[in-house]
Amino acid sequence: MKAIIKREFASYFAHPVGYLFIGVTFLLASFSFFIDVFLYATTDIAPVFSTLFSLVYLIVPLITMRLLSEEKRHKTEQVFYTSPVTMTEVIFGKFFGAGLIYIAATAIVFVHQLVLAFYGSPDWGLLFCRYIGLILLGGLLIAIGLVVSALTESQAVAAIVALAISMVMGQVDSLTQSSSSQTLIKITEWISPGHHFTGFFNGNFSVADVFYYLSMTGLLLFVAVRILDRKRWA
Amino acid sequence: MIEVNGLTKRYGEKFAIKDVGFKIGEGEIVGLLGPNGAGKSTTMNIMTGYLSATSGTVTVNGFDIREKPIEAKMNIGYLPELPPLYPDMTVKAYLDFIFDLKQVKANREEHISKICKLVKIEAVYPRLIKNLSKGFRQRVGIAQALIGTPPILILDEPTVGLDPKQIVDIRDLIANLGRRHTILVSSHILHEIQAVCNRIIIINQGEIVADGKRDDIIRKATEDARFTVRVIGPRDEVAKTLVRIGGVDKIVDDGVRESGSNDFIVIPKAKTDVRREVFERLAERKWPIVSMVGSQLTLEDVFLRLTETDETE
Repeated sequence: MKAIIKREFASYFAHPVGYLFIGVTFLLASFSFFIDVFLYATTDIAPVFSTLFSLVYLIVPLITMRLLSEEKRHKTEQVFYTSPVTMTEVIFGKFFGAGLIYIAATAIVFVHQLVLAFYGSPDWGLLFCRYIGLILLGGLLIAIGLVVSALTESQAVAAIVALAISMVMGQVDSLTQSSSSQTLIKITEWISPGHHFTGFFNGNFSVADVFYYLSMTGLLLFVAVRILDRKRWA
Repeated sequence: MIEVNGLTKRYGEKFAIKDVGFKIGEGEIVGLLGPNGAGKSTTMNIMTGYLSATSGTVTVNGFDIREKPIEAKMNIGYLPELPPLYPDMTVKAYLDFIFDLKQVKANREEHISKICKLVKIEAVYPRLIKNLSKGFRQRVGIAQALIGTPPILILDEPTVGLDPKQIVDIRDLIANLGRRHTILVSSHILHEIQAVCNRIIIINQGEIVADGKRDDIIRKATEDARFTVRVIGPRDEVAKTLVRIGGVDKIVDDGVRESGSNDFIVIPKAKTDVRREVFERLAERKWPIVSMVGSQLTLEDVFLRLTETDETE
């Protein structure tokens, strides 16, 4: 699995996509930091997290679109099927490879916090709580992208479908807010990654929210493994 | 070393391969020969774990590819028809990746350098794969199959798309690898297989139609073991002597082709080889045999005959 993580992480820097992902994240997060935090002379970088929360939905498909679709297109997936590795190792290798680039990009918030530390006493606990939420959210979005990428040879299709699914999931609770059915509201809130992120954003570390992210991500990764295994039987 | 039993792969109603079975022993270089679409790649893909069979088993060094896939794959180096190369990687990075993926325990530098030397890719070692010629890509593909020194190599059409010089180079390389590995190599080109393999399996429309050494395949494919014998001796008596031999079905007088001798076409009964007896009977009568020539088919004839029959059905 280590070999796959290493290869995956390195591959982002062989294409513009890795630089683009990190560059856009740094740029927009830093812009938000300067405009909404630095100029307001506050030590709470909540606006940066708000920006990142919206941004990751849009740009995570960039790093997941090629994860498996490119392997299918170039037939390099044969390496995995015919080497002494399991499909679970392949999927986890891909997942963590993409996860590393996600962490590298979003870790910019620590730089922002360090800057604030020169001027005041920012709340590091709150920062870590929010960052854990952001990582869990990223993991879920990467898992969605990974499943979609396992289903198609086209990177463009993989990106668009992953984006569409992520957006629907992200907006699902707001779509039913005006509904009279409390059950429907409860269900959509449970499905919505954004709803579960709110706790982390407010500094409330909840085991239920962690469970939601880990179970959803785990389920999607399991689906991705099954898709790869199924291919042998096609 | 490799045991394939009743391998079948079905796509809906269509059979890609049907009841394919063979055994390959240690040190053999076996050629899997067949026209395009015969089922060569399907067979190899199942043997290496890339595809699952609808039914049948593949055992590699005692490990069933379905029951113990990791152990079985440890024993195989596979070069698919299209080498699985990442164009954005350098040869070095790619071979390092394969080394890690196969979890090879040997010294990395030493092991990879030895393979690069063997397949002659030292010159392109630091280059990006996307910038390599087809011949070098094929060599890198073979290098990745060799990583971990698997005892079995499965090479699917290793010379396809190469120029004549590159074909000769790859053929020599396979012959060289055959000294240390058991090899199954597929091709739709007869000469490729003939040049490097000591055993040939012919597959057509998903079924094995011949399996054996070159001459055995030719002999089996020949409808009867008829041959022409040229004898110095009285024509009628020689004919009578020949026709009395137990396994002989028919004798045809083929006239005089060389002065002082007579030619006879000896047609034995089905699956009977009477050459020894013909020699002994004629020798007893002190009638010298000047020549004995079989109505020999070439392997090419046999291949065409075996693979054309079904096409016309």
